[in-house]
Amino acid sequence: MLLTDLSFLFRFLPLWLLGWFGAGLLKNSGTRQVFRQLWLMAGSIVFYLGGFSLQRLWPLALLLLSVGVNYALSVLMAASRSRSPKASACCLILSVVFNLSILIWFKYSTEGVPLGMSFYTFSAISYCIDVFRGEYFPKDILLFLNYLLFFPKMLQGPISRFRDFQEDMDKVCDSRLPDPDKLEEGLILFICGMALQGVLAGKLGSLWSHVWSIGPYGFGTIPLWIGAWGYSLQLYFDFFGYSLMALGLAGIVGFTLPQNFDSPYASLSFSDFWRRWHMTLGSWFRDYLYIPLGGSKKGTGRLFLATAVTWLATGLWHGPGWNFLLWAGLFCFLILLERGHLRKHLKKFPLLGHIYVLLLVPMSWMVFVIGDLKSLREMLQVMCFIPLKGSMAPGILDGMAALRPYIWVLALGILFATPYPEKLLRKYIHTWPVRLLMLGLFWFSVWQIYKSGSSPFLYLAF
Amino acid sequence: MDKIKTLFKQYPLALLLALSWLILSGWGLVNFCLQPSEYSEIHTTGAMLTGDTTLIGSFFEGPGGTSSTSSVSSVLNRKSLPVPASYPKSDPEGAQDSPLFHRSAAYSPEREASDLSGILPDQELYPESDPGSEPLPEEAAEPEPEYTPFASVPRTPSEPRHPLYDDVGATALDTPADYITVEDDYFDHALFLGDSRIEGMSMASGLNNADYLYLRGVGIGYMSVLDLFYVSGGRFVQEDAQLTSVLQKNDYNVFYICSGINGMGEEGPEDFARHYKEIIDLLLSYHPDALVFILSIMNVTKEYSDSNDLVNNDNINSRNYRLAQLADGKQIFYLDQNPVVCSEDGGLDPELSTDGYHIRAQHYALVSDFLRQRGIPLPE
Repeated sequence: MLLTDLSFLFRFLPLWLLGWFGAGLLKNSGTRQVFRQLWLMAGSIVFYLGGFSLQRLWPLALLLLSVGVNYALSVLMAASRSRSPKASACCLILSVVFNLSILIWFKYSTEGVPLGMSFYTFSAISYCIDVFRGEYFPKDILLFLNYLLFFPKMLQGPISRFRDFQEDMDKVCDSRLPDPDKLEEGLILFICGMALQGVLAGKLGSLWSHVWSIGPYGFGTIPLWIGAWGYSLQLYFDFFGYSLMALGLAGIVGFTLPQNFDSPYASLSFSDFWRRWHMTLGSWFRDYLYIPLGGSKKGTGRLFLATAVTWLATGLWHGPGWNFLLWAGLFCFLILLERGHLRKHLKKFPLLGHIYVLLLVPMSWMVFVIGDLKSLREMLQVMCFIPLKGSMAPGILDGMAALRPYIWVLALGILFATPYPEKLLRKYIHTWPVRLLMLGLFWFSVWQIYKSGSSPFLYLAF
Repeated sequence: MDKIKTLFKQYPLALLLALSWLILSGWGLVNFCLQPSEYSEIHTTGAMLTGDTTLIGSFFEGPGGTSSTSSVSSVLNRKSLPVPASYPKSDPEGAQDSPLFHRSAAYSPEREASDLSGILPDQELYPESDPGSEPLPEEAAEPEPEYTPFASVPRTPSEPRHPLYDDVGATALDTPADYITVEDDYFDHALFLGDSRIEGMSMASGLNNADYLYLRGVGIGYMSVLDLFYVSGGRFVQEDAQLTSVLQKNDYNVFYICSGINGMGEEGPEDFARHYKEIIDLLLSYHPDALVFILSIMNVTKEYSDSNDLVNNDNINSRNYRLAQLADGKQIFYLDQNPVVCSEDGGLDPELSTDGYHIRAQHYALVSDFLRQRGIPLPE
């Protein structure tokens, strides 16, 4: 089940919310807490199974196995931490190896990664490392299960930390009625995410698939750039929209998930871009890999090593294809380059920084998405104004007319990639015009999703 | 009442959403009860042009709930698009009256049955026809002519994967005719009509002297009613061209039509072929002496085909088989372009495509070369 499936929106969610808020009628705080924990677990399992289908039973079994093993190891880890640090470290190593080996096995097998595994694996590892560091003591397996299974974030993140989830869980289980402002903000985020993921990303995807299905022998340099920007925006709105839906859904029931995007295309450099793109993955790698490897505090050599290893892991996380490694290598190279003198120059001339990001980031996404080296070379060649050989090579503007129907979609994509619409929304968030706008946007998005069919999130593949 | 007011003050957006959901669900429920047949139609997922179907109906569908429910007839009946007066009814009786159901002179059930003998002994070849009526008995009684504008080779029939489609157990071949190799000037007065595949032809076939009318994602039934992209002399002319006005303004002596992958699931092969014939009739009504080449619907890659119960090569073949029967071998010809672009597994060669159903620009030369070898002397 996906967050944009109509069966989720109109069957699962209303029923589940009814139960969740209905628990507010329970006067006893303890009973309410147990009921909500169990209700959340049941909802997450039904969501993961996609209803009551048995097809996803074995991925669920795998997920429950992961919960059991990680919890058992974390208990052992916490129990032996003061008496035998070595045993505790062994438990940590075991848990990391266990989690990563399962993930790598599926990443490199033909079956593909079970739904959500990439994300819950990262959550599980962060939990174990934090337990090892003594940040908390495992005492409630149901809470841990809900942390990994929490359905708004289960499939694609954001990768949250256990402490935040635990604090939120205590608060929401205590309260009988939802916080009005938080509920409304959650609904607004959810609706905005739905419109961005279900409508805008889909339309931008049509632009990209139009350009790419014909390719650089049919389209000239400028239409190819438009296609590349179309893909860049599609990928962004697909993932950003999903993240907003997750944040919104969590907000409706009183949880706060971390932000995953911060207008990345308004960045001035690649380092800045990566700080604003898939922020929870970036911060996970920073906290659990980059800093433990030395980060930037232990000299240039360690900085190079930590950056290279972090980016290698980021590339491998996306998949076994050479294109992901090449993409990660490009990011690594440019970020290291920026650490030298480049960033200073880019900061001095912000316009130059924007141009640099808006030209190189789409090119890096081409490396990311095109899995065939020859096609990639042809694409980049034409994008760099180097004509292809042969009589069929198109002119710079050839094919522009075919892209006319996408002008408005692209314009909307550019507008919503800037931070201004969000600022405007925040300014008027609890006003009637915004509420009515959201009501209209919700039904419009439902209609669009119904017409075109819910499209699977791009990041589900990772 | 006061409690409701307080609640509304506290949670206005949530209650607005809940209220609108209740109203629309109630309306959908009423619709569902009143028109159960509307919701029991064939579920489609591959149709690119779907009508403005009743929204809330989806909430009462089976698991998934994201598929649209439409057929060309239901879409047209709902007036989501202008309907040309010439459209035949989509019911079997109307179909019998349609010019399409007057099969080519050479058609006879016996000959077709002999084509398929041993392959599909008990299969109904035209399941959409009225089962109670005899299939054109007066024609069947006619003696078989020497020339038959239809040829096919048997293929292993596969299990139908969608209720609209059957597997006829044969693949149609090019209409038997004395084809000649032609030069590029053959296409000076040619019009290519169709969907994204024609768009690809307009961009990269190298036949820049021809005219092209296309719309990405369009099904044949909409060709005469929607605005199309018009390319002439290798240059883009307009994006809101009407087929009839282009036919009126220009003098064409040969038409190439390629359409059929969009709208699969909206209608079965028989209705599809009938709409196709309507378009051919329309073209010939403006240019009665022109030749018409029906280009087979290009297959999709095997991987794509295997993963899609609607848009797959069996269903494409089912449509192509009916298209080939529209040819008369005198003015209308069916050309099977699949051998040119398919690999040994019968699917579109994955080397030629990135998405599994379009060939990339550089490979359209294969199609234009094929068309050069399939010329018929043009009318004087």
